[in-house]
Amino acid sequence: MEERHTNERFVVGQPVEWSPPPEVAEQLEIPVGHPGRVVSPAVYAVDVAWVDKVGEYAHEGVFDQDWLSPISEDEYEARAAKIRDGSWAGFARR
Amino acid sequence: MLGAELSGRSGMTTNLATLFLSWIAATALVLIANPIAAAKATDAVDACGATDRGDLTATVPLEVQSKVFMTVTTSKGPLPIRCGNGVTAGAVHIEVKHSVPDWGDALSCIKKVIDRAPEQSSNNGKTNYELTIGPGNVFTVVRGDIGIITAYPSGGDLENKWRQCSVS
Repeated sequence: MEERHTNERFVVGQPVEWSPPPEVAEQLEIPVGHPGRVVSPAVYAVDVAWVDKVGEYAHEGVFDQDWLSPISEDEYEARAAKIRDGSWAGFARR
Repeated sequence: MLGAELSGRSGMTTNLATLFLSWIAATALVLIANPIAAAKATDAVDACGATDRGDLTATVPLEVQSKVFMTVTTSKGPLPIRCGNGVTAGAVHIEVKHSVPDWGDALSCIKKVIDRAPEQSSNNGKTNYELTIGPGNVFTVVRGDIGIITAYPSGGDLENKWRQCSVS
């Protein structure tokens, strides 16, 4: 069977949380546990639209599937509401 | 005296020649014994002043992350490969995470994938390309606003798959 890159763990639109190993987490500005939604699910190049203070944030890079964990739609909405109602300023735009 | 000196030099030359031949023989033996061994490039890490952390990520100084390491000329136009952040995008990330053996192969391969594969654009500002090179060797390239974000072959034996893609 031909090996493909598209994985079965995530589908487009899947709510996820940022759950990388510590050595990766310390290098990126995304808070651990931050919610987002899968835009494109290639195995080593999962593209995620992250919840921002207003709207969504498109990080310049892509993510290893092992750095993401699926969450429920309810959990996504709850975390997004908490972020938008809270004091977090949002992602810094380069 | 002069004859002795020449004789000494000749002996030294003979010793050096023997050493050189021994080295060639040893290298040939290693290559014969392990023909698929391939080195991983360090060009991007070196050029971008990055530090390979040994965990498939690297630390890249903030002030060089947007610098262009190389440009790949494709049918979609010239696309920069910036140093990037060493974790999720750019040349250093591609090199340390996806085991580029040689940037000549990598440029050739990235160009081939972009030129031949259908585009899949997302609403997140990125475009994906996926091309089957051979059995078990599917290449993915992603580009975005910054240029080439990532590129990698599927599965293991990555260095040889880069080469296979380059010459296919």
